[in-house]
Amino acid sequence: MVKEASEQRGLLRTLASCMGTEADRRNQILVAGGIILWALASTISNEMMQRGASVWLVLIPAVVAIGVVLAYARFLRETDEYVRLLQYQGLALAFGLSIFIVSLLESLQKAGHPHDFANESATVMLLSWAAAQFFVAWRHR
Amino acid sequence: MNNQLRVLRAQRRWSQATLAEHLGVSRQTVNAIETGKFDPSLPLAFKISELFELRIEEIFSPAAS
Repeated sequence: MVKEASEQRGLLRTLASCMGTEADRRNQILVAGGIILWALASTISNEMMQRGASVWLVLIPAVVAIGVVLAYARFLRETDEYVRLLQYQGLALAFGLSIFIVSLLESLQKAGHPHDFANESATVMLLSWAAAQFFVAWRHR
Repeated sequence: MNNQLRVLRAQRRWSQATLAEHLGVSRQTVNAIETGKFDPSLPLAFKISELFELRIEEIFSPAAS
């Protein structure tokens, strides 16, 4: 017997339902957790290497990053065809957005902006990806 | 492509979430198919046809040009 599901209301519920099935949500939480872990590991290892620790510390965030990529690939493999299509659209949008922002920052630097943006590329790409995911989920809610 | 998914779902008094659960897809996917934003793949179309015990062409029809 199938029970009737109540209509979902509210922004948070709408966005949660935009994240796909329960399995999709679990996979996405795993990816988001991995990204946070990667950011932490990257920051800490950079800090420690600047203080003279072994350069091999670079392997720690790299391993976490590989884990994130594998978790995202698993999410794409397990999700349904429409959500997968939206994810591809999000990736394409994020790619374009990050190229635009990085080249804009590069131009600013060439024009004499004192801040060195060379190390911001990964952050820009990550934020572009997050923004694109949010936009696509909202647009197709 | 046009489809009768919304009508068939309404006949059974199912929400989009309930239908999505039956098909093993997200509610978003059901909504996209119903509103004509997305045409399902053949495997999903067969799954829908099996669920409603109808032939594919009774559910989906080409959009009038």
